[in-house]
Amino acid sequence: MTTGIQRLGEIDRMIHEPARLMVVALLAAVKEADFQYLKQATGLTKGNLSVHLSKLEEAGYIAIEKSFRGKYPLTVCRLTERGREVLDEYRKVIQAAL
Amino acid sequence: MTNSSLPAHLEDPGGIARRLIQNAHTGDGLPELVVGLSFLSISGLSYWQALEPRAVLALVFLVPILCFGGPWVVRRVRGANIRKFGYMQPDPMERKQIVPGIVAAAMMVALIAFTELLHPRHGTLAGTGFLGGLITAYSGRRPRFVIGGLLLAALGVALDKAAVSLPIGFADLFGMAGLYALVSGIIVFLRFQAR
Repeated sequence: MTTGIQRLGEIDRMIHEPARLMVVALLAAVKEADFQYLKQATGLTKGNLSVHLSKLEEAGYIAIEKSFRGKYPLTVCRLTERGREVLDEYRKVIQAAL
Repeated sequence: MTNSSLPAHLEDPGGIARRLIQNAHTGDGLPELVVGLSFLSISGLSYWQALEPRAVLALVFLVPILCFGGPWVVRRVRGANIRKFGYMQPDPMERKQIVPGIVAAAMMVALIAFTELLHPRHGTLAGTGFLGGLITAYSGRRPRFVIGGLLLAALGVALDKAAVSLPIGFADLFGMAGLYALVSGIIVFLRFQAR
């Protein structure tokens, strides 16, 4: 039988990384957010955030869309269904372990 | 109980999200600036009410305008400077979670008003200071908000003990709270602009 703490071995490493976990957790709590908002909320540098967003997009956990709001170009990010499922599973593993 | 042998960043994602959103919301100082100006306006009208009781009508009209107008101003300023402040669309479900907090605050305000009706001048200023302090500390959750909340509660108790008239007491309470929020908001806003 696998105990709660042992389930930590099954954890999704893509979102277990602290910076990516911040991004995914934040996007799970909002409908959508742009790059600048994510940068301010997480305190990550532009380059660092950009790399993590690319990785999350490649994994299919977030969707990135370039759009305009008025005359300003926006890089809008939102969590995908797949991302939401993975985060829910992550949450269950963490809750079982804590 | 939390298992201390686990890595430090093992935390419920919901808690992480709430902290990050709170940081982003209070990180630019705009809400504090608006609250500070609103409280100073209420304080000014309370002083006026002490001199001219009919000024209570102005207060009755101003308070709802400030309650709804303040968040609207913050949204407009952020929306007009989206490059600097960023853009976020709240989740309607998450937004509904503030309803219990609003209901609790309304119930406490009603309780204070009821106490005032039964026992005039019995702890109204202390109750308002305590409630205001609690809301300030809970809604901000950062040290500057907790300090502001404690100061507000202490001032409420002190004004209650000093037995000043209610309009003057409210004017002092809102005036000090507004001044604290304004100064704190200006400092945070300038630091945000310098980043």
